[in-house]
Amino acid sequence: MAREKYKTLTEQMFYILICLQQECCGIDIMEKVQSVTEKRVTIGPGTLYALLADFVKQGFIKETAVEGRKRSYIITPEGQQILDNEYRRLKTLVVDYEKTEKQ
Amino acid sequence: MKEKEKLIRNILVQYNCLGDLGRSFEEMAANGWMLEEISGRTKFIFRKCNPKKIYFSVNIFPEGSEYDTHPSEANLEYNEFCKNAGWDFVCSSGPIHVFVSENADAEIIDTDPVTELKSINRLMRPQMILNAVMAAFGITTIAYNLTINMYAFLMHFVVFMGVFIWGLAIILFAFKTSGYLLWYRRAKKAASEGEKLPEGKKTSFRTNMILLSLMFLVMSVLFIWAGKKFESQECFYMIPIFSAIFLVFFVSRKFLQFSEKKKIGRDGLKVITWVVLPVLTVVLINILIISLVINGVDDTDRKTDLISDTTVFAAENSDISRFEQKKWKFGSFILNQYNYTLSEYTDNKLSAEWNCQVYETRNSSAYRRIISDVKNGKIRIFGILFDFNRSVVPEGISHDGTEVYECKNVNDVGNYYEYLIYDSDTILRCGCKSELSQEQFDVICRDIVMR
Repeated sequence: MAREKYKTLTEQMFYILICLQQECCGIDIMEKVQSVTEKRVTIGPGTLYALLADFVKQGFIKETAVEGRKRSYIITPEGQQILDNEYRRLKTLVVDYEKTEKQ
Repeated sequence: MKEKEKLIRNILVQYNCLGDLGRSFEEMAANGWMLEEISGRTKFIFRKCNPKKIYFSVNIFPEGSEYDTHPSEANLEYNEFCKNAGWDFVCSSGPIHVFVSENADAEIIDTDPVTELKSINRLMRPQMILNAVMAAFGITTIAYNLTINMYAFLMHFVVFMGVFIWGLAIILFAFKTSGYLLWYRRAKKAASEGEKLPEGKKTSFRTNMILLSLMFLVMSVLFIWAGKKFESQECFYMIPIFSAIFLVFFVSRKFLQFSEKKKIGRDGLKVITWVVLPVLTVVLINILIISLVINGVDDTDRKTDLISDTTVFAAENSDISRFEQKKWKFGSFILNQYNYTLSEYTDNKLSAEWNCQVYETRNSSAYRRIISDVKNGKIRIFGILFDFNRSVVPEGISHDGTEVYECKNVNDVGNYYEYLIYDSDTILRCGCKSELSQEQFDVICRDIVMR
């Protein structure tokens, strides 16, 4: 059921997983997403907190360190697979678009 | 005159109307009232301040529960995330957290409508399930009273009102559930398109209170009217019983506010106050109503002396005339129950008593149902099945044209004999602490059953 739900990812989900290919904490993720997307995509603290908690529950990411209230996470192989699937899906969309454009 | 420093507003928080709530706090702050704390579930306390233009964000803590009393480490972590985005924590109540910012461009706390909807739905689901369970229970109660327990429904105003109240409750549950489901459909569509979630329909605390008070008033008036009309004291007793429900909710709310203020108790206390206490109240009230309906309250003077086997009852010794006035004037729909107390006096002192109920109806379907049951030695009163078939047919007593069933109950007080007497179109159920003799049986058949 959970896999079904993550068949397609929202922009926020996608970027959080991208950032977590390297170990980082919540606040780092917010900053990283803004810089990667040049402020096109922003992740609100509420959304980030909810998604991190959900990803941990689903086993897509895991907690690596806790310093006070600062928690660091990293992506798991399962999470990486979800991210790769999404990447392939987006790539297919792009290829399809380009095919129709050429015609 | 001293200027008011504190302002209390009762607000009904709806998880799908949090945007409106934030805007109302902004208006209050612009008028010089800053939100300070939320006490209990609905009491919002504002403190006098200089009018200022500030921005509020009211959000659902994703891991929060309705029963959270004190902030946990997870809450503090969440608040820290928000602080980093420019939002200062103001106060919280259960899963609701209120943040404030002086910066109009502060990052929105919930940027993903899909996640936001999930948080709302997670909190609303138990409420919807509870509504569905209560509605199912109500529908079963109504169906039961309109079919199997129809006699009780037609006979007793309290049971009749019970069905009426359940009917109202089901409409309310259906209204609330369908309102949420319709909103959920719109919100899901908006979320899938990446749009902001729409605001739900707001119900004010005052409207809820007015509706509740109005319902209570109508019920009280109906019970007083029925109590006077049918000389049924049970109806009068229903008013303090229903008042008790409101009192329990009021006291539990005050208790919760007190415990939060004094920081006593843990989250479990909230579960006790919000779930255990109301459920216990409803169960106790139901037991009280059922026992009141079954036992009645007219028999306070009943004596427990045993009567001798030779006691003869005559109609003139009874208070039939008083009970004749209790005929219900609801046309052919309502089943009439005439209560007869046949008493014997020795030296001006009540020494013995028979209690009889005669059932009559002009409603053909109710009539057919009762007769078919009685022919099988059964009668169902207020949901209780009296199975006379399981008892023995009494020996030595008979009367032309009547069928009689006897049931002997043995309890701590002693033996209690119940009789079901059926004669073409009259049904009589009576009970006494001694066995019916032929002489007594003749009097009952002549004076009551065949009168």
